[in-house]
Amino acid sequence: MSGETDRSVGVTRRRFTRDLVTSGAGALLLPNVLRGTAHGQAKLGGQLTVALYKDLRTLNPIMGIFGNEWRSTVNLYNNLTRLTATGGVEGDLAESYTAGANSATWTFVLRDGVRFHDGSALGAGDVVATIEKILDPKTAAPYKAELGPIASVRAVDRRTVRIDLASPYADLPKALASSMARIVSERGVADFGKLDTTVYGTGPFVLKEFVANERVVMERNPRYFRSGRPYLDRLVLRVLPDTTSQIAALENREVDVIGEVESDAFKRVGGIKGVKAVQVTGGTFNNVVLYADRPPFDDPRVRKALRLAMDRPQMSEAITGGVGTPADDQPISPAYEYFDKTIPLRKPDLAQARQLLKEAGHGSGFEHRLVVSNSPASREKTAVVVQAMAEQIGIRFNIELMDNARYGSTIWNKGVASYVGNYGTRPTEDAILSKLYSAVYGIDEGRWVKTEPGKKAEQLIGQGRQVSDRGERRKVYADLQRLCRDEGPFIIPNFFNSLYATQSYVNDWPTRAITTEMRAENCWLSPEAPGRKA
Amino acid sequence: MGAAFLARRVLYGLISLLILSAIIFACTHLLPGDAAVTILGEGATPDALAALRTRLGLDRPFALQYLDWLAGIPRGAFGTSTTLNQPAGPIIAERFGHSLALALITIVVAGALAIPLGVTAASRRGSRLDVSILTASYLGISIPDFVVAPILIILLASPPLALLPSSGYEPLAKSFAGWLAHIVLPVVVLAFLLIAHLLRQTRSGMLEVLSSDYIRTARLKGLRERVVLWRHGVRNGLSTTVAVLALDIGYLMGSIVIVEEIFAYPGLGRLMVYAVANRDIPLVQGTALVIGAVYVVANLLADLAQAALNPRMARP
Repeated sequence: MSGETDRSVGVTRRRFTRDLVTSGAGALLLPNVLRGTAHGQAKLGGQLTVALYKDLRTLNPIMGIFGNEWRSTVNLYNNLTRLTATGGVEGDLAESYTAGANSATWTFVLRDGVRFHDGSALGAGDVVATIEKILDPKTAAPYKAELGPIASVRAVDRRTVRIDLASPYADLPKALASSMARIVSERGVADFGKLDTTVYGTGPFVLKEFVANERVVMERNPRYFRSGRPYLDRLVLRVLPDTTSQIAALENREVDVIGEVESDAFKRVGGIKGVKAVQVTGGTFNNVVLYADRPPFDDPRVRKALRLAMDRPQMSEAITGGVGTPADDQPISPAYEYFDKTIPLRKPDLAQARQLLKEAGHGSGFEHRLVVSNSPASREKTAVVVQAMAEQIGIRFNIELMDNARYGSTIWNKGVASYVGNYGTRPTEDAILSKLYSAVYGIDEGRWVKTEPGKKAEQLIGQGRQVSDRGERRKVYADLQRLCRDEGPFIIPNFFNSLYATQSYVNDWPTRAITTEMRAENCWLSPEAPGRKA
Repeated sequence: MGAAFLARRVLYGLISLLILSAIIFACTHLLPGDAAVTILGEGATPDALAALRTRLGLDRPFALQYLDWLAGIPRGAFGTSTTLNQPAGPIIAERFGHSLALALITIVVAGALAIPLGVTAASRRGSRLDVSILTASYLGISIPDFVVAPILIILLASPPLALLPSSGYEPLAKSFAGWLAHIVLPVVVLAFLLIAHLLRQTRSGMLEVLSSDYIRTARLKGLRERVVLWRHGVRNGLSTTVAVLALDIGYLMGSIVIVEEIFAYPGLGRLMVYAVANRDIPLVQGTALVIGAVYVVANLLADLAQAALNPRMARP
C-alpha cells in the first residue's frame, strides 16, 4: 500500500523559480500564484472535468488514504486552517487563531455565518466532534498521529474552540490543514458510517453523485461562505485508469484536466495542441530500507559505501524519466519550507565505497535480499536502478517482486528483509521525519533509533516539534537533514515531481508545489471551453 | 428433452455452486495479505490497524464467518465491502448488469458474424475465401486486446475522427445514444477476439459434420447444397459452437479486465481486480461467486441448447 496521500505543502516564490529552472520536460508554466489571479475577468459557470488515475474509494475525509480521495474532499469540506500558496498557513473555517505559552494551548475563533450543505450553522461543537472522532482509537484514523499531541479539545463558546496539547507543538495549525482534518458536522460525525458516500461539509461544492472508483459529480454550493466562489457550476472527477484513454479524452476535450500525469506520458501530453503540461517539485519518494540493527547494514561503513555508489542525477533520470528531483537519502524535498539547500548533493565515489566495504570485511561484496511491492510501479524501477548502482561495488541485491497486499502484511516494517517503501509528501517536515525516524512518534522504520546518530535524530525530532521560532526550527531541521543524509538507514534516490495537464481554457487551476489536493474554488473557464450537458 | 433432464442439470448446477462457495471462501482466507494494512496504508499507526482488524471481524472463527456469508447469499447480501464501506451486494449487482450487457451484445455481434463466416469457410474448404477467412481469424487470435484497444482509441476516438468517446460509461436510463456510443469500442475489441475463436470452432465443427454419412446421403438424395448445408449441416455442426458460446459468456463476465480497464468500463472484471488488489474479501467472494454462477447458468443453457439441437444428448 502506498502512502501517497496528502501533499499539502505550499510553495514559495523562490521554490517556484527553482522548479522552473530544474524542470526539463513539457511546457513548464508559471503557476497561478505568480501569474496573479485575474479574478476580475473570471467567468462564472461551466463544467470542469478532471481525469484521475487511481482508486477513489471513499469520501470519508478521516479514513481516506489516496490522493484522489483528498482531491475530492477538499472541494466538499473545509478545514480549520489551510496552507497558502507561499508555504504558510492561514485560517479557513477559523477566522483567527492564537497560541498560548510554549504553543501548548491553541485557541481558534470560527467565522460567523458559515453553513453546512444541509443548511445547519457551523459551531464549535462541530469542530470538537470532528477532532474527537479522529482521536478516538476505535475510529482507526490512519493519520491520527499527524494531528499532533492533542490532549483535549473543547468548545469555549459557540464560535471558540480550545485545543490543549500534551506537549508543545508548533506545527498544530499546519497539521489541522491536512487532508484528514476536514471539519464534519456533528450530525455527520454521528452518521460516521455514511461518510463514505454522503457529505456533511461546508465546502465550495455540494455532492450530486458518487460512484466509488468511477466518478464524483459536484455542483456549486450557493451558500459557500467565500463570496463569489466557486466560479464553476459543476466539477466532475472521473477515474480513467488507462493512460491512452486519458490522453485521448484530453485531446477530445472530454476532460479538461489530467490531475496526475504518468511520467512516461508527460512529454507526449505537453505536445498536444492547446494543452498546458505543468510540473512542480514534489515530495513523494521511495526509500530503500537498510536495517541498522542487523548485518550487513548495521555497520555504518557499509551503508556509507552503498550511498557512495549511487549517482543521484542519473538515478532520478532513470526512475522518473526526467521529471523528478535528485535526492540524497533524506526525506525533506525542496518543496518543504525548511529544506536546506546548502547541503550539497553527494557525488559518487566508487573507490572510497570499495575501500569502506573492504574495511567492513566485505572486500568481495555480498548478496542481499530486496523485496519490492508491485504498486506503485516506481518501486520496482527504484529497486532495479539501486541494484545496478550497487553492483559496481560488489553488493548484489536479489530483487523479489511481491503483490502489494502480501508485501504490506509480511514485509513492510516487519524487520524481515530490506524493501522499497513509498511515502507521499506530508503537510509538515515533522510528519515525515517523525514517521520514519522516531520510535516515540513514528515507526523508526530503519531500526536506527538505538544507534548514536539515531538517538540524536530522535532528540532533534522532539526539539523540532516544540520550537516555534522559525530560525531555530530551520537550524533543527537542517541538522536533521544532514544527520539522516549521512548516517540514516535509507537510500532515497529522488523525489517525484507532481505532473498535471490542463486545457488552455482552464484558468487558475491550483498547480501548487507538491499539493495534489486540487482546491478548485478559484478555477474558471474561458469562453472557448466546450459546453457540457449536466 | 424431459423434465428429469432439466431437474438433473439444475441440481448439478446448485451442487457445483455450493462447492464453489466453499472453495471461494476458503481461498479468500488463504490469500496472503492483511486487509487492515491494505485499507489504512503504510502511514497507519499500529493501534489504528489493530482497531480495524477487530472492527472487520477478521478474528472470528472461519466456519462461523462462512455460514454467516452463505446465509446472506439468497438475499443478495454478500457482506459489507471493507474498503468502500458499502454493502457489497448492490455494488456487484450494478457491475453485473454492466458486464452482462457488454457480454450479451458482444456474443450477439460475434455470433452473427462468426457463424455465417465459419459455415461459409467450411463449405468452401480450401478455396481462396476459406484461406482468407482463416488468415483473418489467425490475425484476430494473435493480436491481444491491449493492442487492439489503444489502436481503436487512436483511430476512432482521437482527433481528427473522434467519432466515439474514448472511455467511460453512460447509463442507459440517461441516454440511449450515450450508452451506445460508450459501449461500441469495448464491444468491437471483444468481438474482434471472439469472432476469430468462434469462427474457427464453427468451421471445424461444420467440416466434421459435412464429411459425415448422413450429409452424403442427403446430397445423394439430390437435395440442394444450400438445404444440405443450412438445414442438415448447421443444426449438428453448431452444437460445439453453442457450448463454446455459452462458456464465452462466463469468460466475458470475468476475464475482460483489460478491456474494462482501458475503457474505464465499470464492469465485474474490473471490480474483481480492484477487490483482489485491495484485499476486499466480501467483494472478492461476491464477484467470484457471481462469475461462477454465470458459468453454471451458461453451461446449463448450453446443455439445453445442445439437447434441443441434438435430442440424443438429453437421454440419460
